[in-house]
Amino acid sequence: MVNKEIPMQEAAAGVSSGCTLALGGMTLYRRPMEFVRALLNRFYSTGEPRDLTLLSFAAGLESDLLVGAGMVSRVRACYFGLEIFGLAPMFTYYANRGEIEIIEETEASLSLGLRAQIAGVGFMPSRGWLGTDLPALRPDVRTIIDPYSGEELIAFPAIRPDVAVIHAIQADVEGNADIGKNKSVDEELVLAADKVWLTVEQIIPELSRVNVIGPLVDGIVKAPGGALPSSCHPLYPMDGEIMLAYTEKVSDPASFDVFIQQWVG
Amino acid sequence: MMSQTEMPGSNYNPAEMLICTAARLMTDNTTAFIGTGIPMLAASLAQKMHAPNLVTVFEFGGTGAILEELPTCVGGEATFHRAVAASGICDIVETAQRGFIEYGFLGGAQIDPYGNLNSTVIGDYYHPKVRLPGSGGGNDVGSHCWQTIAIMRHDRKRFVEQLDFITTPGFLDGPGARETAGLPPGTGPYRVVTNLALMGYHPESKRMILLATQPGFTVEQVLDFTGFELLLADQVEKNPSPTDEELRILRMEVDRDRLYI
Repeated sequence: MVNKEIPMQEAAAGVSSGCTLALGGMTLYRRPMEFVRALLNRFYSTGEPRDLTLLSFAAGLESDLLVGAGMVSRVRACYFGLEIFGLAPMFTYYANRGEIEIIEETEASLSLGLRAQIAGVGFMPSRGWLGTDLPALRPDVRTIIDPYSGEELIAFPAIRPDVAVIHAIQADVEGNADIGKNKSVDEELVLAADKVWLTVEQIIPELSRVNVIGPLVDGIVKAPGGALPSSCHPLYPMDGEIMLAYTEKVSDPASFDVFIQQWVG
Repeated sequence: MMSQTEMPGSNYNPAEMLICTAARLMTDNTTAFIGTGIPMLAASLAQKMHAPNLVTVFEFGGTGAILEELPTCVGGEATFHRAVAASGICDIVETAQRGFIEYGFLGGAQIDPYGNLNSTVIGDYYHPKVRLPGSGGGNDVGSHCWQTIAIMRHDRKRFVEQLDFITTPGFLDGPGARETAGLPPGTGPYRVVTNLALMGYHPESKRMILLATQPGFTVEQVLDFTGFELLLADQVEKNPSPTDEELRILRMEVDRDRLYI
């Protein structure tokens, strides 16, 4: 048996500048918030990591904090916002000024891109994006003729995250884990990323149900409450008051700095 | 100027009218892709009124949930309550592309006469006035669901002749354009529900057509609040107000905490 338990600082130290970092969960659910906090702390004390490409299916608070801190050069997401709480203020601030690169995505381009990576092929064909303004923004996304039907399809390229960090409900020390029923694209991220770290509510000897298998996991970090203020069903709901406070108080770099100093450290 | 708040003398607010109008469009024994906000309340109301077997599909993976508790978001726990399946986004995207989802409820910041939607950016893409959150599942719903229903606030900034950006395909630039672009034949926009009116699309020209006004609003007011030439049905109907039963269920069961209404 391999014990893959590592301290949070070690996981945060493994993200290098310039890499593509995928954060598990979705908008306001089961986000690896404690990991994000550790990453912010490392950045504020060492200036690293920076120039990150953030891959988040539907980016929420976790991503907005990294954007606000100035760690992110590129965002790959099909949605960046805080759902019922409104726009993500720091993403909106920098995007309105053209100061952050956005790789425009939709659910199809992200999910099929991950599936292509998992299957070990260069692309997956789809009818997404046809007829819209999206292909013009992404010259790297090409079309392909279906050799059987002759139909022209969009060929969404494979997406290869360098590091994926997923928050799990339970895991054993080898990294076999249960992420619950609200799985987002976490099963796919685990299969697609070069390196996978789990933060986990509880480490137990043996699990009866597993949706992430140990051999794919490089390290696990014990982090009870580690998704807060996002939710972790069925253990705890999201902390709406923090979400609300964030959107009410933060609107630009100065107000962000005030907020983040209270949140990290 | 007309008020977009509560109508004098009425016992409901515009959000409640919008939810009831959307719920009435939901058919029993069909599958419907439910986006965040109003569609969730409408689906819950429809399940408790006339469509107990409405199969709700949420993009984060919940399929066939019974909406006893109102989900606050499309990945919320309630979207999996008594669901027949808890899959993930990749499965839902592929299932939609395969043609399994009949109705898709979506929104956007702008809509044009052909039902195309913008949820990406206001202004020039590279020099935006406002960057919006992005497609989310919008492009997927608009590309793959058989019939899409847009739910919007009705004003001239949102109902525009020309979108700043096409995120989600409607009928694109007119008859046959979806098919030419390679989208599945027979799919496309079906209805637009707003606080002022219910609209559909002309069967030949594919342009938006006014079908009914919401209670308290006239055809002239609807036209005045639309930034493009809206076609008129031969007989523009008047939508009935929410019934006492609809309001009771909406307030006592669907949204007890008044998160939305």
